[in-house]
Amino acid sequence: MIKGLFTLYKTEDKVFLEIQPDQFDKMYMFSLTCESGLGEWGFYADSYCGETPFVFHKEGKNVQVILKNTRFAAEDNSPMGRAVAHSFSDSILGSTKRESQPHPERKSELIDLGAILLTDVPMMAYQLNDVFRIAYRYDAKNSNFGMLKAFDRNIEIETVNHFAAEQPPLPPLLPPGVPPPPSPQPPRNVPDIRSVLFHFRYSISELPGPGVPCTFGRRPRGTAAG
Amino acid sequence: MGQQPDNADWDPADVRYSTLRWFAGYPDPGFAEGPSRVNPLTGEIYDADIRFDAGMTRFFRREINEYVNPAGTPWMPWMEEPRKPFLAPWHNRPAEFCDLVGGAVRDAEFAFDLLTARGMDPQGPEANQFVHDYLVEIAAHEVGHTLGLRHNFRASTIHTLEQAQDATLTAKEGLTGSVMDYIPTNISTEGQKQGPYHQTTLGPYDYWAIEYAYKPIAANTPDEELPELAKIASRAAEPQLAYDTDEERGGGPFDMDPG
Repeated sequence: MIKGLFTLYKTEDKVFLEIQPDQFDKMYMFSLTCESGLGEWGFYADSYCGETPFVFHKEGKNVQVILKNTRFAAEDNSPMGRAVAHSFSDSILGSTKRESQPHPERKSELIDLGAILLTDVPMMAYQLNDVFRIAYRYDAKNSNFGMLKAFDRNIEIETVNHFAAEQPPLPPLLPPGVPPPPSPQPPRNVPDIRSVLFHFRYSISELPGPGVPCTFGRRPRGTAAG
Repeated sequence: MGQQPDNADWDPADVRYSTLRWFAGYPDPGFAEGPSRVNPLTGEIYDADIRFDAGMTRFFRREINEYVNPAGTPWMPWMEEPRKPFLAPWHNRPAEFCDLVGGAVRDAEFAFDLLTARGMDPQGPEANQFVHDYLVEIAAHEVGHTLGLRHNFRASTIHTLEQAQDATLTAKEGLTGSVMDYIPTNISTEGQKQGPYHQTTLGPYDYWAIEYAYKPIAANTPDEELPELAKIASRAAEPQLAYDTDEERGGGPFDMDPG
């Protein structure tokens, strides 16, 4: 058991996340560092791969991770909020069933975190495919959790993710004299081009708001002072 | 600011720590990047980890041969391969592109080779200082980005070429007005007075912009800060604070030199 903003329970092959009743539908920040790389073609270590606010939302037997639309947002229950809500969409990053009855005292819920995070969260298979034109796919069987840490205002989760491909595409058969179409080179820096591993680092952190000390105030944009 | 110990109980990917990190690639990717994480609901920057390719410390000495003997270098990966990180489809980052280092590496390599041709020992203290100061200049630029500063392409106009070779003046005012410019290596013709090769101090614009954004002001509400902010902003016309950013460099109606 690792106690913090959210409490994590680790078994031999699973990690469960405990969500308190007041943590549902509350906005948290989700930040991803692509911690390892391939050392080529933009797949370099330590890269910020994205961050987004999200909420855990209970929907029937499931818990959904919903990415709130922050590009179009307004106060809930205001006329503008209603206009935004029916004009624009949120997104669902993932969902999984509730693993047990609510905790008898805390009324908290437990979810299998692997169902959310041991997936291709940043669409890395597409990125690999885009660069190398090899049909990599997420291999959940060989993906697992790494380091787990929990603190008062954030939890830190490492996943080790395997992307596998059957084979690179064959070049097209062409009549003599016809130049072959451009095709990218496969990765140079891995022992076997059919298998690449990426360490992802997720941070789930609290945002300033009611009950959380806020020391930040936004200043108006200066004309020239940046 | 300090060095992360080998046995640290924290790591740079933790959102609570902002760091400067080193990574490696093969061939050397040749870039640095200063990203930051922003809460889109408030604009607050809550994390920033600058990353440097470790090859940046080696480039200069290796490139001597590659520039003298270009036939030995059929391929320079940093000319062809993308350096930009891949972003998840749900990323939130404002799309702002910085291409400083790709050019700065080549520019500084050229200067390093020229100095070597003029007799600088490529393994000597002057060469070490050159590489050190180059890294300081890049780090300052990337830190500027993580703090929210944008490019300032007019900063390099505040000093004349003669002033740029006056080390007393540049120690005080910076080689240019801002580390957020794309500053070429400052190198004189042979035998002429030589100022610093790189900008290793902040310029007047940097102090001013950071003051506007971060100066602690005793105020209960954002509105109460406005008079003090207006006072800081009122210096905008001072020649040393000259500023023009990306939109003003693209050939449009906001260009520094339209038409």
